[in-house]
Amino acid sequence: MKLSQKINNLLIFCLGILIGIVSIVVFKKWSHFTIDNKLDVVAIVSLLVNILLVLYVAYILDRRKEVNKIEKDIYIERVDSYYRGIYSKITKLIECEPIDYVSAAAASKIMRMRLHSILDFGVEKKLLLRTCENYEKVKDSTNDIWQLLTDDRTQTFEVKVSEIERKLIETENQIFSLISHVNHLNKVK
Amino acid sequence: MDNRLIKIKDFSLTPGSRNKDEGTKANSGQEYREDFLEPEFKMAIEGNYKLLVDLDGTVGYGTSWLEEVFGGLARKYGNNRVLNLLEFKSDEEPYLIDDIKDYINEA
Repeated sequence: MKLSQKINNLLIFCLGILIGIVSIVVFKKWSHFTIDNKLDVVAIVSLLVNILLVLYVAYILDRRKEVNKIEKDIYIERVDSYYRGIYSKITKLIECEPIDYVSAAAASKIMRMRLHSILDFGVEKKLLLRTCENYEKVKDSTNDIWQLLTDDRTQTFEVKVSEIERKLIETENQIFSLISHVNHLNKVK
Repeated sequence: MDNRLIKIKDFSLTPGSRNKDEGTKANSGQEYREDFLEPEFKMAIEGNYKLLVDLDGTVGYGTSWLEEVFGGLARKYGNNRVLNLLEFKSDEEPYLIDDIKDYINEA
């Protein structure tokens, strides 16, 4: 938690106490109700339970929510950096005619391994559902890029390059949808 | 039936393109199939054992190389025979096994 957020919380807490005190004073002064000075055991237990519930919500749940958010942000950053990485690698590969076969195969290996690792990690950490629409689609697009880069029986260089560029844009859209899915998904129970 | 392990990385760390005529150091699929895999495959038929092909340890495979090696073998010996005699292993890229089986089935 940032320092400014801590100060805000402290101010809200003090304000709450102040409002409470003022309310009691106002209530005592102008209200026709009377407050009994005796306290029974049930009221004390109820008060303690309420205090514990407030502390639980404030500290445990908020903390858990914050950890989940950080985890989600790091994951989204990883997915995004994956796309930026493959984009720069592949655009470099298609600058040279013909595409260097071994370099393309090596880049494809890293690209596919990284993607599978990222997706598996997302599912394992419950940030992503295996059934989500783009889970398979993004794998298929990456597979298509691998095929286009390293299949020597298809198309001329120009056609191949334009197909690869089209697939890269398709992958970018799928990655964006995947990030959006992660962003909107509450952790899978 | 016992398995005999063969590692593609023993052939080359940088498997190349499809055909032998694409350069003397191409490490092509055709070269691997004709000079390495087929002799092993024939011995496996005669000796009645399976070949376990280890795909790990290379820099990566292209589709043409894989298709030429395993699709090419299936075109020559039949896809059922190849699927029965070859098994695959990959810790690095387990999804390659499905790709290879597709090449064999589609050969």
